[in-house]
Formats: sequence, C-alpha cells, structure tokens
Amino acid sequence: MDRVTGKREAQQRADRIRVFREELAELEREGALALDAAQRAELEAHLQRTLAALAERFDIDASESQKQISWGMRIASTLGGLALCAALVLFILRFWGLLSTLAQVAVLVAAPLVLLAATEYAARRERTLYYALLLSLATFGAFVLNLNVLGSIFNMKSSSGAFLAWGIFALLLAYAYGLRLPLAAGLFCLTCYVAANFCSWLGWSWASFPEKPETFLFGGLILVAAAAGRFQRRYAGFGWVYRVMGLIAVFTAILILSESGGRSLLPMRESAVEPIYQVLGFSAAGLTTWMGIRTSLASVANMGAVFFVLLLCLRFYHWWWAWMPGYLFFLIISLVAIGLLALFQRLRAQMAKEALS
Amino acid sequence: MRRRGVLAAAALVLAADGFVLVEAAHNRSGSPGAAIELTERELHMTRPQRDSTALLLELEWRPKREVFKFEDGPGWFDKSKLEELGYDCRLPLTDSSARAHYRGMPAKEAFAVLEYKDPAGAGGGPDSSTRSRLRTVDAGKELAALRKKYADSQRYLIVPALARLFYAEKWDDSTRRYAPGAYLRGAIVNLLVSEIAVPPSERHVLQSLGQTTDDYFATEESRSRGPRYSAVLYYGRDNEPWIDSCRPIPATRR
Repeated sequence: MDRVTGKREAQQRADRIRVFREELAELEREGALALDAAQRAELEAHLQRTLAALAERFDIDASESQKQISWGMRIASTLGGLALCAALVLFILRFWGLLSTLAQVAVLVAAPLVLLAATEYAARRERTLYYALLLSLATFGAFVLNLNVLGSIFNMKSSSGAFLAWGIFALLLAYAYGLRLPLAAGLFCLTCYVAANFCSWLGWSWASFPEKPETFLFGGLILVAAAAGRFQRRYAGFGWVYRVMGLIAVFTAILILSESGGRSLLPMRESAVEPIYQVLGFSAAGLTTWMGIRTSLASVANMGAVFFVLLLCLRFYHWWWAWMPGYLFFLIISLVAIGLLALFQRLRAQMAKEALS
Repeated sequence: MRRRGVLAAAALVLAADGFVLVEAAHNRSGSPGAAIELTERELHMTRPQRDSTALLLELEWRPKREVFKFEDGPGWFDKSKLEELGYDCRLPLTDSSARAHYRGMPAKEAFAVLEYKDPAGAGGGPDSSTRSRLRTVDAGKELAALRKKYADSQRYLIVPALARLFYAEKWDDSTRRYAPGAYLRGAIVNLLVSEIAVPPSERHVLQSLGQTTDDYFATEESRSRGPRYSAVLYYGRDNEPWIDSCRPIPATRR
C-alpha cells in the first residue's frame, strides 16, 4: 500500500483487488483452490483494509458501478464548467453597457482571479476534484473572455500572443490540480500559437493558420514527443492527453491535405501534393497502430486504426462512389471491415500466445 | 507545487492584463495619427446580441468583396500591387495548376488607404444616401510611405487591414467551363479592427436611438432621412482606433 503514490496507481491496485476476488471465487467454484474459514476471513479483512486505505487517501472507485457514477460526475462537471462560462459571457453582454470603463476592466480582471480562488477552495475541500474541474474550466473561460473583451474595449488588434497566454494559464491550472481537461485546452491553445507564428514567419497573416494545415504538424509532433517525457509520469493520464492531442493535430492536418492539396505549403502542384499526403497518411496511421500495439498504448493504437479507416473510406469514396452502385460500394466497405477484423483477430491471437508463453 | 502553480496563474492574469492596458495607453499617448468625423453611413451601430447593452460601431468601407464583377478588372489592386505586398505571382496564369496555386494563398497584413469621399462623389443608385463613403484606394506595407503619399488626414484614413489575392475568372454558362482571360487581383477583405467600442461617456447619444443601423436603414423612410449621428474617430500610435465624441445629426442637416 505504501508504495502507491498517485491516484492512478491506487485505482489500478483497487481494480486488481476486484479482479482477484472474482478469480478467487471462480477458482473455488471450479475446485482448484479451497481456503479454510480462517484464511478466508484473514484475506478478506486484509483486502477490506487495503481498499479502505486507498479510498481514504486517493478516493478511488472500489466497484464497477462506482466507476460509472464517477464518469457521470466528470461529464456533469465538464458541462457545468461550460455552462458557467456561457453564463459569464451572457451576463457581461447583458450589463456591459451600464458600466464605466474602469468598472468593466475591474470586472474582467477580477473574474478569473475570483474563479481561481474558488477553484483552490474547492480543491482543498474535496479530494475528488469534481467541483475543482468545473471551476477550473470556468476560470479558463473567464481568462479567455478577459483578454478578448479587454482587447475589444480598447479596440486593439488581435494577436497570436493571446493563445500563448491562454495555453500557459490552462497548463498551470492543469498541473496545479492534476486535471486533464484544462491540459487539453492548454495544449490546443499552444498548438494554435505555434501554427499562428509559423504562418507569420512565412509572411502570411497569423490568423491564416487554419487555412494551412501543415502549420499544425510541428506542434502536433512536439506534443507526441513530450508525451514520453519523465515529468508527465507524476500526473495520472497526462501522457495520454499529450499523445491524443498531438496525434489528432498531426492526423487531421494529413487528412485535410490528402483531400485538398491546394492548402499545402509544399511548392508543388495540387495533384502531386495529395498523393504524397495519402501515402504519408496510410504509412503514419499504420506505423502508429503498430507502435501502439508494441508499446501497449491502446490510445495510440486506436487513433492509428481510426485514421487508417478514415483515410481508406475517403479513398474508396473517390475511387468508386461516382460510378459504382451504392449497394456495391457499401458491400465493399463492409468486406474491408470484415478483413480488418480478421487481421486484428490474428494479431490479438498472436499477442495472446506471446503473453502465455 | 500546487500553491506555486496557482500563484503563477494569478500572476499571469495580472501580467497579461497589465500588458494590454500599457499597450492601450501607448496607443492613445501623444497626438493621434489621424482624426476624422464620420457619420452613421460609415460607422454602423451594432450590438453583439439583441438584448445586449454593449454598443459597437462597425467601420464600413467599399467596395466589398462580394460586389466585385469579373468585367471590373483588377483596378488599382493589380498584380504589381500584390507583388509589392509580398505575394509571389511568378507562376503563369496559363499553367494548369495556377488556379489551385493562387486560390491557396492566405491573407497578408497590410495598411489600407480609405478615401473619404463627399456625397457628390459617392455615386448614385438606390442606396446612395446610406452607403459608406469610405473607399479603398491603395494599400501598402510601409505606413510612413503611405502617410507621405496620402497626407490629408481629413480625407484619407490609413488603417491596418488584411489583403488577399484573388484568382479572377469568368464562368461561361454555354460551355460550362471557365472562359480564358483570368487575371489576378487583390482586395482588402477585413480591417484588423473593424468594430470599435463606444465609450461609456458617448453611449447616451446612441442608446437613445434604439435601432441598430441595419434595422434603421431597412425602411425607405429612414433611408431618405439619412444618418442619425456622427462620431469623431481617432487612430493612435499603434494604428488602433477609438471614438472620442458622438453627436446626433438633426434631421434637417442629414
């Protein structure tokens, strides 16, 4: 128990205990193992003590239904945070004209600071951090509103620097409380900042970055590389967020460029750019799936597989949809899906064999 | 660790806000770069939402991109002006990839010169009494050169804007193809600050008018009555605008 240092490890231990109990019951039913009453009581007491200690220190989910309720609470916190942001925006719009400039500035500066203090208060009061998550999202929303509205009060030109400030702020919130949603928001802002500055460096307006998907590749690859960093290991699920956000940035850019080569920065014809990104997309998706399987990272393997299937469906659409009867088109899609299923099944069987040996 | 993170987040809010306030003060320090009085025709009153109490004035200029016709030709914003702004126009228009190449070019930041033409020079037509009299007449990268060329600050506004390259070609309905004769043209697609907040001290002038400009100009009667207010617009050291004073225009003077 003492070796458990974080909530993630505590949850893993609790999950192992649950599975152990189920397996023990199964073994007893099959007659492979028989514990006497004293042994059973001693074991059960130990498991209960361990679970109670884990729940006390880390507020873990001890059962499957508790886990499901936790998910519901996380979703409710997220929706609550977003609704609080919307309420703040609409409140400001409704009463903005009644305030002096000084009062407007004071409200804008105070909103994120007050919400930050409320997040800290909630985090101190409650270990599960559901209220802290809700308030941290509202705090982030208030800071986004703060810079936007402050800029518009003084009629200032928008700047890519705002993405940097928002990104750092969200990361500070995420690392202070170990929250994944503010981390995802912060990484999104920082990826946009890198893309915007890349666009500026090329001589375009920084706000043009959504038109040039290649500008997201650099930021995306940095996030994927950062996922392996040692500093992520101390925070439950942070590596996963880095990896998923990075892979989404990279694969979305490749997907768009494989369909719309005219958006590319490469000094080539549109007709040459698209096949390059199609080949790159299939190779990257295949490689990602393979690496995900090899390193036992399900999120990586799943992302690779999803993008592989998306790219494949798009290719099929371009090759066949115009001339092929609809029923035949979907039949081929389903046959390909069956083929992929068979392939994954073989892969799974092979891995199971390796695990057993 | 958590305490430090929270303090750093609070410090970041204060630092970012401080930076914005210092920038705003810097823009308004010294004598303004330009000052011009415009009417409701050029400064449309808008609200972010229907029930919002916030008021904004949106700077209107012509020609808008959507009114462009192929026959108009590139006008002053031709290929050489585009190259001056940094667009690479070396690929011949006859090249099969020219359309995709040029259409994929994003916008660039530039300074747009808006000429304020009096009503007589604004041209006739059904909307002539409500249309903006600000017209784009030039664009460039260097503000100092444009200020020198267009020195009359009562007539010319030089504002930061987004310029974009367009590959203009005409669709031929009879052949169902684009007709030959494509050309490159540029356009000012956006001003970097097009919505200007009405300061609280001037809000009473506009608040009493009720309707937004779009709603007001929707009726024939209002169009014939003309604009309801004027405002003095200043541009500061960082080329960011602000409104200094608003006044109602009596019906007889419209």
